[in-house]
Amino acid sequence: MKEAVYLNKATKRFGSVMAVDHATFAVEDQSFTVLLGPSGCGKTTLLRSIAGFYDLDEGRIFIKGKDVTNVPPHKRNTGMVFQNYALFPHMKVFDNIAYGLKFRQSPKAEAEQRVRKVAGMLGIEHLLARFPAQLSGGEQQRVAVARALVIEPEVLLLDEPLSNLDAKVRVHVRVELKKIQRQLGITAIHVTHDQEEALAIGDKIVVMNRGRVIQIGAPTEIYFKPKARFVADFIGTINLLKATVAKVTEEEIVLSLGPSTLLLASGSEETSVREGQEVTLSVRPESVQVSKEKPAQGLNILEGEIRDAIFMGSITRYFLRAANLDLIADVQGSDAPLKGNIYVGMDRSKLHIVPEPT
Amino acid sequence: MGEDDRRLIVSSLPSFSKKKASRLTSVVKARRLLKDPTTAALFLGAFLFMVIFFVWPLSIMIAASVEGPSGLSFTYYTDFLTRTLLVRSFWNSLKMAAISTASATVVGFLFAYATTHVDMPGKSFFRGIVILQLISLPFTVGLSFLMLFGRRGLITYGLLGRPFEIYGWHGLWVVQTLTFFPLAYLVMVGVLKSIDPALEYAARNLGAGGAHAFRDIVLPLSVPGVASAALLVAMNVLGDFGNPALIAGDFSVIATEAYMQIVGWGNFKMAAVLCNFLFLPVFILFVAQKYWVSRKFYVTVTGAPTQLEVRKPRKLVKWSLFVFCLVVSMMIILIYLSIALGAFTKTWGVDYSFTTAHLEYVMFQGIPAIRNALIFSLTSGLACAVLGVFDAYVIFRKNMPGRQALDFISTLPAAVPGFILGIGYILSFNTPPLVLTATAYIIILNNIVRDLPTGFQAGMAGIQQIDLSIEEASVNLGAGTLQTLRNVVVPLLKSAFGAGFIYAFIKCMTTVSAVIFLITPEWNLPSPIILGLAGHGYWGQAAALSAILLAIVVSTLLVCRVVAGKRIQLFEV
Repeated sequence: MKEAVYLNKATKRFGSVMAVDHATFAVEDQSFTVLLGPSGCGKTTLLRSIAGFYDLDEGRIFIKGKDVTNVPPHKRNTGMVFQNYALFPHMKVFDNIAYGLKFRQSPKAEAEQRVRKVAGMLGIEHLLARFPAQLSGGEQQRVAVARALVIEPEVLLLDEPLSNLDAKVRVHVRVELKKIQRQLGITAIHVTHDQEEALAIGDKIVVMNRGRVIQIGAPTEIYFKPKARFVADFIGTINLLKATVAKVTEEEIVLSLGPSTLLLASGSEETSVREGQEVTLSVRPESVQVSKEKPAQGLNILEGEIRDAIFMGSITRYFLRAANLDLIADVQGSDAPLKGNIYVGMDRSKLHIVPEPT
Repeated sequence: MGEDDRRLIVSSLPSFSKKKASRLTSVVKARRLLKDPTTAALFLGAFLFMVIFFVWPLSIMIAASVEGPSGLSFTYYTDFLTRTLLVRSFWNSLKMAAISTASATVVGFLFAYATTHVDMPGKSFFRGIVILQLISLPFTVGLSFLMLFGRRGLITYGLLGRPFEIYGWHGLWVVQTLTFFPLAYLVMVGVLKSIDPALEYAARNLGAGGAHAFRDIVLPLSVPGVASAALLVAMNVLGDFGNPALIAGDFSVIATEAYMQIVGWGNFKMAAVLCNFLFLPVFILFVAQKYWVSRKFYVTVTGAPTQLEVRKPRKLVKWSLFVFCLVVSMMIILIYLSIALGAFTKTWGVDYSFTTAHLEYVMFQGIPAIRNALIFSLTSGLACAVLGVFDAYVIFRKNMPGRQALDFISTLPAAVPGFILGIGYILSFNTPPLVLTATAYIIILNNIVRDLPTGFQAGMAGIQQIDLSIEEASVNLGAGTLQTLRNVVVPLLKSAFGAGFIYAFIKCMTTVSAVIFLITPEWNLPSPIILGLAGHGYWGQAAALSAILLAIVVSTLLVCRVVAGKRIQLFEV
């Protein structure tokens, strides 16, 4: 595995607050990595430390194998897109994009060519003669991205660059961002608190909380197999159930939840459990099936009733009571909402044990 | 797991980890200093300049009072305490500061409230009056009061035909109120403007009447502004020299006594003692304003900025305020009218016939002084603007060790009475290693130091408008500190430079008390000349020279308005 960025016990304190607490992880070359977490979790601090705007109190930062811990920010060759874009208000779009090339001794003609090329890629060629104040939010964002890309950075740093755009543009732009990143084969580190955005855009997600890295993984891993309760809670809606391990075999784990039992495919779990252990189970609402007829075998089946339902457009969310458990289930389709007694089905591979800190 | 263990150990030894953390930060800071030599150089340069030309002369002045023929001595202090006249002048200074501060703050508040929260006619006229007061000679009111209400005053003697004693505490009180209320206004108008009108609407919506909304919302929210304004006025009244010199009469204050000690008796030691007695209260007020009151400002936390119009008060309130502002403004117009008339009147108080003799006289006599003033004001204005902006930049943008100290010594000169620094300059720069007395440099340097806070403030206002991320973007793209300064910060601070320059220029043109000990026949300046002429009853000449000086300052401001337009915002009131 090639590493574009490697952090080794990176630590940053503000007074007595641990903003980043011994963060150690690698960012794969040409990958799109997302730092995800609630505000104040240290994700922006970490990003800014990579850019060199903060000096670490402990630990080291490597970019493309080179230790840059003590390299000043203007010598790190990281391209950053700021949350508010930070375009130079007194320079035209062209000069904004060309700015970084001034410090890279690129000949004028070549610089112009590079600016035009990157502007073309982002579809802002027609804006080059304008001032930033004459652009819309989305256009400004493109200029900011172009300015960061034109210097061919070792790593593209994106500090919540989508948060100032309205919802529709945001979804459109993030698809585009990802496309450009793949096209150029550039490494990107993207900071966001929007879990949906993180899941949609990231090759890899680094979930952070209170300065610590909680889990690193592909979006599906993070989503379906949260390694900590915090990750499960933070990302999307999830059912968390308390259970006791009744039996562990080669193929399955038998869990008892009061009167009822649930089966888990044991191969899908990395965590080893003992019989008699108390565990927390997680299951996403879309993995909870609801039906009037008893489902086919092979599923965990519970009997229950519908307490409430909300129509949410493409899905209907049901609030259920089954076997003394409160469950949330998201059901696709626009059929007439179900009422009364129902069967609840849960695939044994969609149930997941959340490792609890002991 | 190993890492978790380590964290446990560290957290079980809190004192150890804390110590380690603080040591690390200082190491980090030192490392940063070396990594960014441009900032370090700027910082050190600004620091050294202020230490040599501000801290040192001030310390010399303070030390002089306890420096006897053989080491430490308090004889000058014991001497001071036995001289009732001097002790009384100290109390008089405090008394005058107290009553003038109260009245000037009230007048300033009413003006500020009227122009921000009341829909009355003539607001821009009232603002203009305030600006006129801010940019004119600091003793204009004193001079014109002598001409209008003095023993031979146009109104008291000429129109009413009765002798009237303007000299004394009551005359000085009115003069100081009219002189310094614009200062209070300037501070409070900003605070009152920042009070979201929606708050008043909310209070009304909840059932509060107009008076209640004012008492419960506007007044408490403006308390920090009022306090800040009052402290500022108090410092200025304490340090004022021109008006007491003209109007105080037997009501002696420290400023005039210190002047007498030097000019009359050549007693620098006693002057230093007096200065220290004045410096102490001023210093306390300054610290209070900078570190206590300014922290109490309410940050109005609201969602989106509102575009609501301010609520209109009752008719009675509106028109009483209007009449009040009008009366005060008329007084001020009368002041400038008397100056203008005086410039063309043969012998004010005796013979009111028209003459151009005064104008000719000052044209002839005053031109070198005005030329000097222009040279000094241009150079020190430029220096103030540049130094002020760089100072503000390193203090607010770079996390340098010692930035608090630089901030302190860059803002303190605004509070230190001019003549105190002037005396400090004489005591410090008439002996080696640095001999500057009787040169133009000593005046220019004194001006720069005195008006640095003005440039600093302009720079601060400008820098706070530039988002930090704009500079970071520049650095991120490969520009070092110097390149970022040149390409991004300086171009964006053009208007701050402009504002700092104009403010400092105007202040230099009209400064009196700081330069009164530094001028020489060769390097004379118009404002001390005017003060001298007025003090000796040459009102015609004094008025003529004042009028010329004011004309220069006003036209500078107007030219700047026309040329720079909205780009340089001056006196945003």
